[in-house]
Amino acid sequence: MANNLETESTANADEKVVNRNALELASLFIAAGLTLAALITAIGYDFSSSQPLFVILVPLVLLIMVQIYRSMKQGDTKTSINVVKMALGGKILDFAVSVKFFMLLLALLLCIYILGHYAGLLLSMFYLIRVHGGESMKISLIVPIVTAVALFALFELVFSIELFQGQLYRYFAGYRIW
Amino acid sequence: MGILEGLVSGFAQAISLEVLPFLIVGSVFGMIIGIIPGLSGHFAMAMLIPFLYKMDPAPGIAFLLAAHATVAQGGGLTAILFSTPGTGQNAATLLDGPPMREQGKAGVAVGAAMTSCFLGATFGAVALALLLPVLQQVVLFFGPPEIFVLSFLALTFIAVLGKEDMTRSLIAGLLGLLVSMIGIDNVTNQERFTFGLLELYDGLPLVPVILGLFAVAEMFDLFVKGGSLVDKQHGALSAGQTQKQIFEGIGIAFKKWWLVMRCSAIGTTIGIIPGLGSAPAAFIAYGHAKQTSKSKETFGKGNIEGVIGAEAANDAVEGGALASTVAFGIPGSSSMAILLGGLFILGLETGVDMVTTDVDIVFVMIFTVIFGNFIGTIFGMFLVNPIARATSIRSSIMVPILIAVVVTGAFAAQGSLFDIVVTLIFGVIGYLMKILNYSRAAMLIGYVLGHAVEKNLYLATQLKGTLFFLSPIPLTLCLITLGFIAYNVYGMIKDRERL
Repeated sequence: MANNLETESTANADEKVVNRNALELASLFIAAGLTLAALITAIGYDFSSSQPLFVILVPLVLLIMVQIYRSMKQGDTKTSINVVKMALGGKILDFAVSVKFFMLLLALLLCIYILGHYAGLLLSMFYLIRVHGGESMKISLIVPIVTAVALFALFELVFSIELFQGQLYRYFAGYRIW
Repeated sequence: MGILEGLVSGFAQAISLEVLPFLIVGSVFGMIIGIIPGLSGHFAMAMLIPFLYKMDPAPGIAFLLAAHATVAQGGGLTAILFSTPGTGQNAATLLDGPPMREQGKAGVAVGAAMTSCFLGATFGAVALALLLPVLQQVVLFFGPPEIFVLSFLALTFIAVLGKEDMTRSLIAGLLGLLVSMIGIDNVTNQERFTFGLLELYDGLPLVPVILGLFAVAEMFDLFVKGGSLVDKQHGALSAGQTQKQIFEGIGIAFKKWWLVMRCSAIGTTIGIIPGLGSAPAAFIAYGHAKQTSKSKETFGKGNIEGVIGAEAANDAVEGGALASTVAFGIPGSSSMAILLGGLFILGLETGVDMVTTDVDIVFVMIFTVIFGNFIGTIFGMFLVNPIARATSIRSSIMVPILIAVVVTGAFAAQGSLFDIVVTLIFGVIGYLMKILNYSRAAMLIGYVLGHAVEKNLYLATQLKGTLFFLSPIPLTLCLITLGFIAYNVYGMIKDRERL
């Protein structure tokens, strides 16, 4: 029994290392592409403006290449490609949860843009606490309201910073929003 | 401004009604953040940065630095009570704090830890004050060529001495420098990597970058991990027992004043070296406390000297770290990089101006560190049990609250929705860096140093030509940088051969 548990935890740890290696390789390839694009773009700049860029970009490109080589040596490239495919297919739990969180943050941004800061926060917080977190209705209502009131008091009353009112409000207030 | 004049003015400002409330609020906030595992000093500072736009320099600095100063105290408290250090820098406290709790001496450990933190921080702050006359002379030798080369030396130290892999950290540092180049070049008016976006003409805004890298990245982590921040609470004391033991602990820390002084000296010295930070300082001080103790065999089994040594060094680091930040504008850690960003927002310049004309501001920092830790100690001693409950908040409640604060802070800094987008993008980058073991501190320091690097490179080439690095000080710094990298690469190759 104990041996089985140990084997299982070792297998999980190995899987995590493989996943991380694949994620690093994918990220490094993206970074390498962007850095090379930046280097090519920098050639077109005025010399005074591109001088510090060369000082930064040349060693950066080299270091990224070194790291790609190290990562490829650490793991099998084919496995890494498979892991990336699995991640994109939503079959790696941690990656899927991270993507979900990012989507929630984008939704929050969209809510703020349309409905305004407070309404956006209230809606998103309620969704996160109630639907995702599975908390009781009481907590799901109290926490967002108290947070919104506290933020209003702090930003608008204490620091006199007006938060975004939303395009909907602006539309009805007569602003040109398009 | 003379040093004595600066001292008096700094003290008067620190205790004024304009500054003191911010100092108290900052200390309490830092303490609470320190208690919550996963959220650290740079998180506390990142959350406060957006407020600086509306503040005067002295209250702004007090607010920011007080929060940072008390984080280690909060972290030490949970390390002892729940075997979960609130921040990485309290890891050394885990060696003897929890065993003391198991022996029913949690209050003694907490009292000793809090007092050692306060004494260590005071030592570091006094050391910074004593270093000021020296710094005033030394900074005069540092012109554009020296600062340019020193920036790379600092980045190299951070990359090599940090807990992350060297190559990854160097990549992170250079990426930070690259990101800082976005925007219009002040000298030639050349647009660089702006993609025609008006919002990028002034470069990437500082606050969203900080919030993204440190606050949103932590939110990702908490969201993915889920559950409660601390799963089990054990060893909680009754209020009466706690108070009695805490006072006993305070007495012991004062009795062991010589140990506190030695460990604080270790912390301050390590603080001056960029990249090492509090965690190694605490472990080195712990080792020193063990080596010089009469009861070495009880270390790791609940020896109070282990707690005192680690906690004193932990907080003494700040004094040393502040010295290089204010004198040369070279931050040694992510927290110091955020502080440097805060100083820019408040309209203050580091370097010669800071240590000669704005000496009062340096003393506001010194007194903030001392008073902040004192407030943290008092607050921690009397509210141990209630504040420790913060650790039992579930992430399903904590994450939405923190996200609301972060998003609001990102928007409030400049009143721009674009800043929220930048925050989210850097949140993803920060989270990737966290899980892939890339140094976020190096990236932030690179980003904050970027403008100084570019400006000083331009000035250095104009003043001394392209071979500016052949002057005595830059050449020495270059040789140290190259030697340091070569030595570490050699060490890595040797290690691999041995395996």
